[in-house]
Amino acid sequence: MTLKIRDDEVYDQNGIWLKTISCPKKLAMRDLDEGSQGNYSCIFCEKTIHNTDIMTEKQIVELSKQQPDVCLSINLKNPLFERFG
Amino acid sequence: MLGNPHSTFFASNAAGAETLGNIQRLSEIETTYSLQRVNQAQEQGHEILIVERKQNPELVIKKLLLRNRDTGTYEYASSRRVFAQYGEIIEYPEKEWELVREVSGYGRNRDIADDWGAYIIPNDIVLGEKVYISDLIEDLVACRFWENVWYASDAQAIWTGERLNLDTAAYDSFMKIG
Repeated sequence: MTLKIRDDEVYDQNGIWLKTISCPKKLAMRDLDEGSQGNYSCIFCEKTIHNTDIMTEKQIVELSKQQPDVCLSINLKNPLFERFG
Repeated sequence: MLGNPHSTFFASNAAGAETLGNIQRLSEIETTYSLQRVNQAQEQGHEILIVERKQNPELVIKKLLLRNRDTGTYEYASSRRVFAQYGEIIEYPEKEWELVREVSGYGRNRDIADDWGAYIIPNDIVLGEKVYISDLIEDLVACRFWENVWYASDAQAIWTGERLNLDTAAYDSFMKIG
């Protein structure tokens, strides 16, 4: 059951909106430091950027619902995400 | 703690080409590998940029060909410890898997004999103009995922008046952060 992604909007497997992927600092991967547990850390916001490469669909959905302002890194080549639209 | 899979320098699978597309409808730069076309364009008053084709170390493919000591099955692995989906780590211990050979390859193969290509610059190009190259001569990495690497088949670039400065940041669009 893949998650859906269209432009910057992420939806769960049922098409229910989860979150908007939008970084106010317009960061790229090269701007991030390696953090703990395979995640990244942001030098500007001091937030953890959760690496969805190492998460399950369920973990991504739960985290996005529990922390709507959570930061995610999404590789569009990750088969967990299906691009549409 | 898990290592970061993106810190791996070498890839173990050539996943093919990835394309940006000319979404911004930029002026297009023609690419040629033909001496005849270069001369024709030169006679038409075009500026020609001859570009050397050379291998990018980031597109070098390295992997291990392993053989299971019990079943005899052969398998490829990037190393004896491989990161996989869901944070899983797959191990190929020496006592179970013998190394048959280290395999190397390259992530972009083209049917072009000579080691150069040329960009034909449009006569109406403006200094500082952002342009689109649909057939990129240079070997660049567009994106990676786990052990796979995709080369860039196209590019955006800025015309400096002397050369085309490739905008590698355009490939950031294959990753989303926020």
